[in-house]
Amino acid sequence: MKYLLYLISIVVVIALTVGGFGALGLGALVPNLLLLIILSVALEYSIGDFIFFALVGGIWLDVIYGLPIGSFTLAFVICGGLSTLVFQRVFYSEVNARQFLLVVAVSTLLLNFWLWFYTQTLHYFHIVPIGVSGLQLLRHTPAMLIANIILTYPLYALVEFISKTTSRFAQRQPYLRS
Amino acid sequence: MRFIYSKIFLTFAGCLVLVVVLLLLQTKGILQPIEYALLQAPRPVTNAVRSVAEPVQGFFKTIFSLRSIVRENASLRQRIIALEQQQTSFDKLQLENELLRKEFNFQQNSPYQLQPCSVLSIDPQELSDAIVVSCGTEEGIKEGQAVLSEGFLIGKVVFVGSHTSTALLISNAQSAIDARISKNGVEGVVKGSFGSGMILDLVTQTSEINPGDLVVTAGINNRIPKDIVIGEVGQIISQPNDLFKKASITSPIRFRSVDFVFIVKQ
Repeated sequence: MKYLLYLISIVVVIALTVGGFGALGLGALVPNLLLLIILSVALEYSIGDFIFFALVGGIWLDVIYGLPIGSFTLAFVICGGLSTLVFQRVFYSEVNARQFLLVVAVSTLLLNFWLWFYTQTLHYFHIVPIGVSGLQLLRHTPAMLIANIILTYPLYALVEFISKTTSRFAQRQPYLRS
Repeated sequence: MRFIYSKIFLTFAGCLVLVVVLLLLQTKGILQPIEYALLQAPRPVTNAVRSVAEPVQGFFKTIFSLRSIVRENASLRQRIIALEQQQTSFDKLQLENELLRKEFNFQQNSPYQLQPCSVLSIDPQELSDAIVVSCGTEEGIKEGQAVLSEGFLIGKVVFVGSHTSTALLISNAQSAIDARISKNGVEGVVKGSFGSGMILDLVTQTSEINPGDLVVTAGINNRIPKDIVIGEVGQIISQPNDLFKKASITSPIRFRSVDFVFIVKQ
C-alpha cells in the first residue's frame, strides 16, 4: 500500500514537471520536483523508501527525457545517499530548513554535473547516441537552481508533514486496536 | 574495509549493478515495451495538468507580449498584402503546373514516403533536446531519417527501438545538417545553437545570402532527402573578415509544442 502511494506520487510529480512546468514554457526555469522529493525522503524516511523513489522515479525520468538509464537514476541515488551519509554519519543530527536549502543547491549542481559526465562518457564510447551538452547545462544551471530553491520549502514542509502524520498515526494504531 | 559491508554501500552497489544491467538492456532495445509503458502511463495525468497549465501560460504570454503583438500585427498586415499579390501569380503557375503534370503523367503525391508518428515525450528542461516518438523498426524507421512537422525539418532520428524512436532536434548544439539556399544553391551547414535557435554556417564569404532566403536540405546525406524546408535566413551574424559567413535561421515551428510528426522513410 505504501509503495502504491509512492508510485502515485511519482506519477503526479512527473506529470507536474512535464505537463505543468513544461507546458508553462518557462524554458530552463523548471524545478526538478523529483530531486526535491528524493532529498526530503532521504533525510526524513528510511533508506528503503528513498531507494524506491530514486530508482523508480529516476528510471521513469530517464525514459521521459530520452536519456540513457542511469542519468537521473544514479544521480538521485548519489545525491540522496550522500545527504543521508553526511547528516546521519558525520553530523549525527537532523537537518534543519537552512541546511536543507544548501543540500538542494549542492545536489542540483551535482545532478547537472552527473548528467553531463555520465551521458558524455557513454556517448564518447558510442554506447548511446545522445550526450547532454555541458554548455547547455551551464546555461540552464542558474535557472534550475532558482526554480529548485523556490520550491524547496513547500516540498520539504509537505514531506515533513506527511512523515509526522504517518508516525503519529502509527503511534496511535495500538490504542485504536485495543 | 568494514565500510563495504555497510547497508548504504551494499544498497548503492546493488543500484549500480541494476542500472548497468538496465542500461545494457536499453541499448539492446529489450526494454522497449517497458519504456513504451512508462511513457504512456503518466499521459492522462500529464494531459490533465497541461490542460490547466496551457491557458495560464497563454494568459501571461499575451500580457507580456502585447507590444510585440501590435508590432507583429502591423508587419503581418504588410506581409499579407505582399503575399496576396504573390498568390495570384502562384495560382496561375499552379494551373499551368497541373496541366503539365497531367500531360507528363507525373505523380501528384508527395515524393517522400512519410510515416506519421505521435510525440510521446519532449524533455521539458531543454537538456537533451530529444523527442521520443511512437514509431520504431516495426514501422520501418531507421537511424538518420528526417523528422518533419508541417513540412519543416525539425530533427533527425538518432535511436530506433521496436515501437519508439528518439530524435534529436535540429536546434540542439550537437546537430548538423547539410543545407543550401533554395533560390541560388549556396551551400552550408545548419547547426543548432543554444536555446532554440539555428545557424547557417560554413558558407563561403563570396556567397550571397539575404534575410528571408529559404533554407532547404542539400541532400548530401542519403537518409535526408534534398529540398526539405528548414526555415528562412534571419540575420547575418558574421563579420566581413570572418573565414565563413554565418546567419541565424528561423523556423515557424515551435519544436517543443509539436504533437505529431512525420518521419521521411523515402
